[in-house]
Amino acid sequence: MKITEISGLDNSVIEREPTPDELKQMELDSIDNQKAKNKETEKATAKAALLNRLGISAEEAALLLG
Amino acid sequence: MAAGLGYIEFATGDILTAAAANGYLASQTVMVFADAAARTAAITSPQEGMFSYLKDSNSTQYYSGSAWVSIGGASPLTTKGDLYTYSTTDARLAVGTNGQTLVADSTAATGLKWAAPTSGLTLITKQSYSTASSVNVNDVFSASYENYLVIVKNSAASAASAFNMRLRVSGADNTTSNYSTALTEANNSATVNRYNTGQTSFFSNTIDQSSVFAMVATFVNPFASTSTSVHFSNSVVISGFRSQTGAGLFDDTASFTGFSLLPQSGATMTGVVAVYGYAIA
Repeated sequence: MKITEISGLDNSVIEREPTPDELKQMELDSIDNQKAKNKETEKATAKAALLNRLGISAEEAALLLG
Repeated sequence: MAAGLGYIEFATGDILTAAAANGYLASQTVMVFADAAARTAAITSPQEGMFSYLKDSNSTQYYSGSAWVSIGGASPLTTKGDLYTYSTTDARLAVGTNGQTLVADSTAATGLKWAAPTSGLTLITKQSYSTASSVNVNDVFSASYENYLVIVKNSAASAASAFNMRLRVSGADNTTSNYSTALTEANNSATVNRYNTGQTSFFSNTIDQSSVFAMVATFVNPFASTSTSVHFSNSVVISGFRSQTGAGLFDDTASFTGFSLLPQSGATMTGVVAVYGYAIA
């Protein structure tokens, strides 16, 4: 893990390790990210199931909606 | 002391008279004295055009007809970035702040001043990041500008991942749940609308970054203690090309001085970020 700090005041660039607080926030972000991924997966699964029930492909569904 | 007589080239056999020595030689050489007092004692009737050198001040002076005047004079410059200007005398103009430009101003003592540009874009910072888990861009928003253009361009990424962004102040992200994002993604198989609100970052896992990724974003008045919006357009290649265009809103009154770029899932990014200020018209 490496954090890059850029300053607009003096155009300096510093690379450093994350602080404990930043690591904690990264963990929270990671949980949010995983939730979003799960939601996407559930949505994709539900979509595939619906298409299967309707007996049409994703392309055909896009044509219908397009 | 005789007045200067001009120029003569002595020929062989010429007689060097006292008048010639005084008029052609003494009056037209650089005479060296310990100090001004020694010169005054030696030259009781200085003539216009005489030159002297004073050892105590290491200055060369000429006689104007009424006074001894230093050539060049002492520099008024004292500090890095100083400009040598003139008002009614030589004057120093201290360097402006980052991003300011030099403009003519007849009301200023020297006729010049440093000021924020009144038109166009000004580059505030442009820096590279390498294998960064996050990129914190600090102290780029200020009262000097109202709106800002940010351009992010990756040249490499450890992996494709979601990509979030937060506003910052005093060297820390604002992680309150005041971020909303609405966007449309066009990819190689569909057009998708995405919306979220009450999140702790812009995008909040609705856009992606990869080794082929660029974002152009305009921040509207982030330094003012009002709500802040960002209008963005991203291009990214993940299993084909995607365009992600939309807007984000930080719906609370807060003043920000920077932002952070946050690849997710432990991914790192390598690339360049540039921040420009839109001139206040």
